[in-house]
Amino acid sequence: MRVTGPWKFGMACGLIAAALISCKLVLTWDLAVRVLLSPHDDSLYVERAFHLISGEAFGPYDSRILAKYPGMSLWLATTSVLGIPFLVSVNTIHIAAGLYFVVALLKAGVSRWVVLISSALYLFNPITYGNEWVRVIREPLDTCLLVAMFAAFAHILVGLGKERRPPWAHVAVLAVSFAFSMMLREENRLLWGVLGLFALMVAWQARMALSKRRAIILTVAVLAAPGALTKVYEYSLRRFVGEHYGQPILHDFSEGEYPRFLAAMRSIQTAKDNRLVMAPQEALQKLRLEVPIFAPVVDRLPPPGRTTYSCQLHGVCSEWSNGWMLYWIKDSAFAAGLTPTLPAAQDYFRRVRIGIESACATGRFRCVDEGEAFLPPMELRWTRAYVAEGFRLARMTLAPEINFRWLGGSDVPEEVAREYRAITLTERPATQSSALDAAPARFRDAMVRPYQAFVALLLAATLVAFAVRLWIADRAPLSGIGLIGVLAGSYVLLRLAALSYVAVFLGPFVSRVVFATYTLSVIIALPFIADTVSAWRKTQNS
Amino acid sequence: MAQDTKLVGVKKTIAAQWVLLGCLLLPSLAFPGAESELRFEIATLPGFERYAALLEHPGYIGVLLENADLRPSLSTKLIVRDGGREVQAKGLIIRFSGKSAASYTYEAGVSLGIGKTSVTFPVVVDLSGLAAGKTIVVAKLPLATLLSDEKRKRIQTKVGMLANADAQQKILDYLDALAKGTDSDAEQATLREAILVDAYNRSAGLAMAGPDVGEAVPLSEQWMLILTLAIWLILFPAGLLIYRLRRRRTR
Repeated sequence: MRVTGPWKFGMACGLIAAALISCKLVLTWDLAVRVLLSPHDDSLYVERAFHLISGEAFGPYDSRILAKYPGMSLWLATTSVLGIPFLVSVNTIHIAAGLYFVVALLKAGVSRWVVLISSALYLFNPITYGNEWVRVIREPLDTCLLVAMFAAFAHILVGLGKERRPPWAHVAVLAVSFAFSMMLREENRLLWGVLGLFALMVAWQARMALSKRRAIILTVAVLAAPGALTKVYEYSLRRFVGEHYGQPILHDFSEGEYPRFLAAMRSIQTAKDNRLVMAPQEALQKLRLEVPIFAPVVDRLPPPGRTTYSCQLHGVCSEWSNGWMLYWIKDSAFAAGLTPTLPAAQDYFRRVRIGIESACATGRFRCVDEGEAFLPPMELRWTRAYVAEGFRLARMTLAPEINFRWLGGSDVPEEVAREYRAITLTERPATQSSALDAAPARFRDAMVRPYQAFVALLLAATLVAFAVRLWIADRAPLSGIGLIGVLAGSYVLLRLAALSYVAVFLGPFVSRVVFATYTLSVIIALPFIADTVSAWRKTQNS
Repeated sequence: MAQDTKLVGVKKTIAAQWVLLGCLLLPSLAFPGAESELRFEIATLPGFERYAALLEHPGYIGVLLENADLRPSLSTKLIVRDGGREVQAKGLIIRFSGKSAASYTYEAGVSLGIGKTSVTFPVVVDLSGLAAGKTIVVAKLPLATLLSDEKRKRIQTKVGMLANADAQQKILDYLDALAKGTDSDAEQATLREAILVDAYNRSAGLAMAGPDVGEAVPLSEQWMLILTLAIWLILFPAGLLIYRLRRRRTR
């Protein structure tokens, strides 16, 4: 058999890709899971997973058990049962999602050189060897799922009219990654908007490429399959929690009585008018006296001060900022024995809320309606703060801070360490030498700055391309890659806007909140720029 | 350990108010046998006997409470006048007016918020029972009889919570550390000076820390920003859209 030119080139690209993956594996072989005692993050997920595989649901009820969506714990429990170490599972899905995306790019006719460079950028993304990647937190998994989801989007759009077989396999990948993402991070509900936009794109493209009947079926399928699977998954989880804890609440910060209680508490007018402080000391002291059932909680709250995290990280020193206080209140209620079970907690916060509302109604408190949700509604007077948070997040989106410095081991109780070992299947703990001294670590460190500088420029160029592509869209209709780029760009901007709003009230986010969109942007940037340049040339020629 | 720290913290805040708030709450306390007087009994640590002279300077008491992280007012800066004999927090003023044996007399005033109009009434702090662990505070408030029983009961409960032993002990420890067992007049002056120096040193930290991040900014200071955003996020895209539509129509 004679090997033709394109085949030779394809084989060469395949070999280069294999070599890149091998390099990446060598470069990161020394990384191990970081064992941390972080009761609202790492150790929470691990403990819940540990109880899950022990047949004890998420474990005994406490104030933190429903502080985060259960997706991460389900993933950990599943990989543990299957005997797959946590880091292996995350790195495998990272590489697999990248390859899946790359195949879509090739199918769309993107230049192989462009695909190769994009693959390299994706593979050697410094996020994947930073401290956060080896922690048992949601961001790495969320990043991989987002890439897989957009790869499925790309396959479906690019394949329209080109492939004879309906893209059911890609719809299935989309449905699974979408449904799982929904129960992984709370802000992922924004993906509903992306799914809606994608369905519109499919309907628009399919109208031209397929028969009317097939176009309708495909459009309904891409909307209904992920939607239905998500709802079934959510319903099952709610039922599971309802059966084991008494109420079908998955995230008690945003559901049930706690957010209503918070809304009632922040409605109390005090001299402190700070967006980052929902529960000022003055309001707490008033509550302590006027709603006596809340007094044991107030008595247990830590005092504000200059040595607190609130002061050092958020600059709120005379109070506790929302990033901590909202957790302290729940923890204190539990510690005081007032919320021993989920129904009891709901009932307790309901009674406190009624107490506050009654005090407001009788004039003992001066109150102003501040909404009923976990976060207050946006007001014009927070515009400056919103813009500041938006800029901060935009900077992060272009060049997220990645933590490579070894922070030192934390004292983890033996029981927690045992749970980590059982769940992450990692016997070898991360050591200082592995993080700093070894040759791979030095090489990784050397790569970070040039990489981030180059990608920041690339993403800025992509933003310009995004505007140009929309500007010429009527003269050069959007291709599959163009549509995926617009979809990704819209999601990045929507998420940026939503997170800025959240940050106005909860304080600045750390960089890992943008890891998923950064990674997605990295892999789509160059093909999108190439597509835009090509479309621009066409408009000039015509 | 962490629970203890939290508890002390809360008690700090509560106890912070006992001297000043005690006086402020006086009008609401019923004085048995005399309808126009309100009487307030506080269980007090006998150790305060050593610092009774400070009662002639309520302003210093306010400052020392702040030094001990027991802020009398969470939202207002205390204003101290007349060598510490007068202290003001928002519309409330307390002024030392004289001493007779173990009784200290004050003039307490509440601003009505209309010009400089205020209501004043005398308050007497009787330390004769301090050795036995009791302080009696009496306010001669003209309208005391108008207070309902429920209101009196609620205030009694509040005061019971505010004047707790932990907070008193904290203040006493602070004073002991500052005074190092001195009690003569000259050394009382040294004590007052030490309170002020300590307050000064602490205020240096405050100045460095600055105001909390996230404090509300008046809308009037943000109009230009809002206008800029409106231009770039609404008018500019709308202008582009109109331009595109007109150009399309022309074609």
